[in-house]
Amino acid sequence: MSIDDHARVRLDPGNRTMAQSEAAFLPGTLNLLILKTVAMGPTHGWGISRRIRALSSDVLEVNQGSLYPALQRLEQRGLIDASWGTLAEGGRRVRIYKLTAKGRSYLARERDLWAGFVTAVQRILETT
Amino acid sequence: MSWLHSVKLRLRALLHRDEAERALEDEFAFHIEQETAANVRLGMSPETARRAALLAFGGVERHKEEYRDGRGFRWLEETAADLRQALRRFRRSPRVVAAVCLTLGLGLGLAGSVFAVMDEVLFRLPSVRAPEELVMLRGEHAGRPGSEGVSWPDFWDLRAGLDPIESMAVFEDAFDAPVVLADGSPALLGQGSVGYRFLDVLGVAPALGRGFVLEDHRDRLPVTMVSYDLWRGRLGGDSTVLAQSIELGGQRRRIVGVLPPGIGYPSGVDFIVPARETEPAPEENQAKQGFGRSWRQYRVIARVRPGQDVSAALETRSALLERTHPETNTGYRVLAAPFRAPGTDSLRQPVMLLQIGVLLILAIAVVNVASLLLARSIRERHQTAIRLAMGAGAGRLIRAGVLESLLFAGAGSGLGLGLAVAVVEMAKRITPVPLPPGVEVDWRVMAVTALVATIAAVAAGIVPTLLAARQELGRSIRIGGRGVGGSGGGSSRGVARAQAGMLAAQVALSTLLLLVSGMFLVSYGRVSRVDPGFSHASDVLSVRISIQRPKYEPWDGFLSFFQAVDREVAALPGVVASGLSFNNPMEPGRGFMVGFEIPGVVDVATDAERPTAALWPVSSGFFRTVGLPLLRGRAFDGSDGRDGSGVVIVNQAFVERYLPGRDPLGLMLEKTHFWGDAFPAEHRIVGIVADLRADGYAEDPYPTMFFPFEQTPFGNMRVLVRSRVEPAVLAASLREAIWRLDPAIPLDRLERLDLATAATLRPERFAAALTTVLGLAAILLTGIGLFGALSYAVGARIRELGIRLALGASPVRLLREVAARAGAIVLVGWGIGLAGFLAIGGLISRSVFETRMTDPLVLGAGSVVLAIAAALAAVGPARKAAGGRRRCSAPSDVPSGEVVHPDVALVPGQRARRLLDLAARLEPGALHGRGNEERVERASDRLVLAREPDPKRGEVDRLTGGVEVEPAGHCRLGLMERRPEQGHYLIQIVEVAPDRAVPRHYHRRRQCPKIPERLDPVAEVGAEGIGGGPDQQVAGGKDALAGKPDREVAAGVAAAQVAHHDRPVVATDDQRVGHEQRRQDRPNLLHRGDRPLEGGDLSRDPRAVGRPVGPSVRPQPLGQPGPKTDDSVRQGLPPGRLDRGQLLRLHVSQRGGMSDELDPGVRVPVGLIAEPVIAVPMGVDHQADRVPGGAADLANHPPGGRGGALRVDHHDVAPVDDHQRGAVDAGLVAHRVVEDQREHARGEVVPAHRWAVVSRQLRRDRGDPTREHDESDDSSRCQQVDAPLGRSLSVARERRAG
Repeated sequence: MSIDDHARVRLDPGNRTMAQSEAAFLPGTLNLLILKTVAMGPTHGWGISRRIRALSSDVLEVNQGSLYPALQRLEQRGLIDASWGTLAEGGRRVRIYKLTAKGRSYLARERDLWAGFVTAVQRILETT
Repeated sequence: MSWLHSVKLRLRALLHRDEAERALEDEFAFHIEQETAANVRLGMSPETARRAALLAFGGVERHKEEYRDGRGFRWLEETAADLRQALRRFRRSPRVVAAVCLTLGLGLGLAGSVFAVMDEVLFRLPSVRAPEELVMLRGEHAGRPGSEGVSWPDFWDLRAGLDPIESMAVFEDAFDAPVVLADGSPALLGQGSVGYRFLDVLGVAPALGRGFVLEDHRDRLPVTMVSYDLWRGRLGGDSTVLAQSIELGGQRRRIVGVLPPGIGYPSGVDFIVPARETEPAPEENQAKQGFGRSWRQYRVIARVRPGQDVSAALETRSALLERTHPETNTGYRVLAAPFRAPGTDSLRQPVMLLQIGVLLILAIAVVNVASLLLARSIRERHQTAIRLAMGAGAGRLIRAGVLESLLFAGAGSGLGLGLAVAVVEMAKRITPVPLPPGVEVDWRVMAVTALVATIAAVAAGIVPTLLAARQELGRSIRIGGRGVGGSGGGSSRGVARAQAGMLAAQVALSTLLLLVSGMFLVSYGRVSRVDPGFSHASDVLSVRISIQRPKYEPWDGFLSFFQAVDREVAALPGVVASGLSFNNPMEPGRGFMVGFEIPGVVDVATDAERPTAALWPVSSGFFRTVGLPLLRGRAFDGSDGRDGSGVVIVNQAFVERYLPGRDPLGLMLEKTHFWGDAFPAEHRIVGIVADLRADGYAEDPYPTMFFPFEQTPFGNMRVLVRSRVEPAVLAASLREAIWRLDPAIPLDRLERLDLATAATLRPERFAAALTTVLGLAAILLTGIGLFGALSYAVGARIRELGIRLALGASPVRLLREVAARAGAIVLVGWGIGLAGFLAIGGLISRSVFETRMTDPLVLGAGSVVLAIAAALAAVGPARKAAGGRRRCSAPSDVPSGEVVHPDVALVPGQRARRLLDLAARLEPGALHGRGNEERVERASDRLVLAREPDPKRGEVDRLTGGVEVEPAGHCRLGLMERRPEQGHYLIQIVEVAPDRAVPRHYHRRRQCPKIPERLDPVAEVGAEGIGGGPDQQVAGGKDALAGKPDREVAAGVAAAQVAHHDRPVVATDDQRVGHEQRRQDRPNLLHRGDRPLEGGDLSRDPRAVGRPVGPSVRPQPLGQPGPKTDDSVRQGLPPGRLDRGQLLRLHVSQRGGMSDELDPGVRVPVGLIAEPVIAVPMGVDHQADRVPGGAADLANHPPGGRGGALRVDHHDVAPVDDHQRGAVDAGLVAHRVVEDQREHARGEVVPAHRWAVVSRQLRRDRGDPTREHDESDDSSRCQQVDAPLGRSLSVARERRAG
């Protein structure tokens, strides 16, 4: 994830929850969130955004629109795979994203890094 | 491999763009639907739910764009778009394109043919191994001009002691030798010789058979190798050649091998014989052997060890030889010369000159193209401005410009290469130009030409492109799409200056080339008129009799043979005179120079002081045959034979040079030769003949001594025959007579003397032809350039000129004006060119014949040609300027005496007369700035006659009149009357169109709380001529615009013109159209125009002509009604982003239910300075009328005070998120972004619901200036926004000021 993406997530006005506090998404976070939610099972874009909101108890809200370009980039990197499926109710054509093997290993690696990062920051913040 | 994956995905997206677009659409729609449904479940009303969903999604269009960005290959799509755009531009101005391509083609064609010659002459090396290691050794003698060969003993010594040289060998270039081929046919073939290991030095192997071996050289075995061409040609080209032999000098030489093709040396050979390879005899015997140190007959080729310095070693060895053999080698040096293709040395200099000439031509072509493109880019400034305003970066524009240049380069080099091939072929065939045979337009030439074409086209295109990309937007738009060409604002004056400069440069260059070519032409003319000194040339046949010497040895046999020939030929029927001669008259470069002494008259102490003269053995019939008059004394006769005493006839030049003031007859020439005791050593002068140019026309007659051929040992004489019979008949009988004497004599080269001598004029003719071609090309190109530039300048001013004509200016004056402009440019260019010519003319005058550079003929002719070309180029534009071509007829009731210009239709009727009266009073003084109270503001094609208030003049003071002329003769005259007491202007407008008999009059009343001092040209932007001009906003126009960056204004103006003035704008909401009709016809909201915007479209539309000010109103259904917002937007939008410079055709609901007050574009620029510069609503549905602030509402509350924000206001209150009710779907917004002091304009398609956000932002601006870009807000607040944008504007301005 580039600095650009980072900036977008942070500055995007739609991302009110985070944007209003000065704290912002850290670089790579959106990718991580997306990958994680996709890892929970194949789903469509809206589902991903729902999951992120739900799982973060509405604290984190990805700007819904910017989710799609992010998905597109992840797909181009081969971390996720997209295919067309049909919705059970209504028979609507939807694009379903699922994690690839590469995405899975990437997620695992990033998760470890993230954990290490959080621990480190935590340690600093908790220093009295 | 992730990049591969990515590329795959992108490629797929690129190839299936529609599908990808649909997918994107579906995915987004699904998301929003789901979100809406979720919101509904949370208890929102469907409407609110959807709104919230959209807000949460945040900018559908923006995200789509982002998605599209990441999807395919942006640059590829952009390039494709640029390509389409370029092709559209080409279609739009085919004449410019044709001119550019032809200009480039002409320049490149000449350049390409010169490249072909250069390639061969300067760069092509014989096909040998590692040619860069090879050097040629040549001798040079201090104090003697030219270079010499190397003698065998010197070579022998050099070879023994030159370390840096790996191997070296001698060779001799070809001379004509009579041979008899295996089939018994005689032939004159080029015979050369090569020394031991010659082929090894070159590093090549024989094409067939073997090379010479040591024995061949050492024992002088009768073997030979034939050239590849001879083998392929006369010898059959198969391996049986190795069984053949060649009879040379009575000896049969076995063919042992065939030389490989393309080795170049020895040059001109058909066959070679082995040169000696024996140790030189002791010095005292060398002379007897004929191979002494002073017999420097050999050329030497040597292969240098890599990295070794051969020059120093040669210097050392030469110095050593000088010491050991001072009698022969004093002052003699052997030097290394670069290895080059044979025969190219003499061409190097001409080719370099040629190259310079062609580069000048190319420079002219480039300047020409640049000025054409500059003119076009000015014409298209308007479009460029719109592109810039809509966010196209300078980079994109430059890229597009370069792309276009590449297209030009492609076309130009295609044409050019075609021309080059034609030129080269023609040069080879028609003119007897001594081109090296290998000259052709091959891939190397093509590559270089294409490269040069690219450089030239990009160089020509970059200036206009950069200017366009950096143009000051405000000005350019003010100038507008119609151009002003040399009389308007500062930038256009700058452009005019640049153009004039380019033209002057072109004129200067072509003057230079013309003068140079004139010099060569005059020189050629003079040379060809030179009296050659002999006559009867056209009926004289000449052939060289080459005999195989050994057959006739000793000399007596030789002599009796030629005497027999002389006798036999003289006896042929029809022969008037015949004789033998060593040379043809005027045969260049064949003279032998020999020294002589005349005791008591010309005495010399040492050899070096001996005077020299050309030696010319002839028979007694020679003088009569060529008609060389005997001035004194006698000709040779039978007594001057072998046994007679030595005699000589000298020419006039000889007498003048060596025997001035003496009687030459009877004087004795001594020591004339060294060819042995068998020949007389003393010759008495028995006659004096007239001068004869022996060595070409250009050389002065040289002192010449004619000897009886019997008294010299020279064989291979020519037979010259003058006869009364046909040359062909004579040739046959001549051959027969000679072959009777010896059938082995080759008589292939029988020629007419006049043709043979004409060949000596080749260099002069070549130079003259070449420079003439260059000069003509230059003048042609310059003429085209001048014509183009003048046409453009006139075209840009045509309305102004037309108005002036209409106002009574005399055509002659306009003609004079245009002619004066052309004349000034030409004069300046001519002066510079002349100065340049005088600076370099000295160089050229050395290589021409009796022609000085200040020759009045040269200067006069060159200048006259230039003047004629300039006049031809200027006549069309000047005529046009003076109204020479009429395209429309005057209305029948035009006041008599008025001039009707094609572009101005006069206005009949009372009011028109009044206007014209007014104008007549202003003209001519007003138009020329005479009088300080009258002035003319000319902006664009509009001529605003503005007058300062002058209380003494009554009504006139309160009038400001203007004329606006549109293409096709549509003319609008406006008269503005200020009525301060009543607090308004009265504007009277008279419109006339060529196809309307009755002009249209109407009035407008504008409120004017504050009366402007005068019309400001800035404020006039976008106005409907004078009619729409004075308005409240304009009144404050200058103030409002003061301090605004032009760009900002421009963005607004551009958008305004998109929206309004340039009228790609067509109403869809016409009131005349019924309700249902409107529903069905609801067009695509945003239609991607297949053509970029063009000014004046509407006025060409007959339906539009004559309508009241403002765009016409007509429904224009385009495409299918979109079921949904996003769909309709999508259909209309180009796949790319708007801000990448796509030009769009907008179909804007424009008048509809709104008041007339909405339409004049004047208002827009002022209001545009707000953050959302302009919002153009699209597809306002009838439903909107019901909405507060909708169209109906606006009609009731003319938003005059709101500046250009009216449309934004409109959105403010529209129900923005419900496309079912069809409010506003999307708008094009050009908005200014301020980021860290960097400002740039960009355009963006903003979906409808964000309009609310935009206006909210404005509102917020007023309260919280720091939050310019935060577009998010609570949706409910949208509804409350109703603040006039005008105020927010002023807030924004204050903030910036503070």
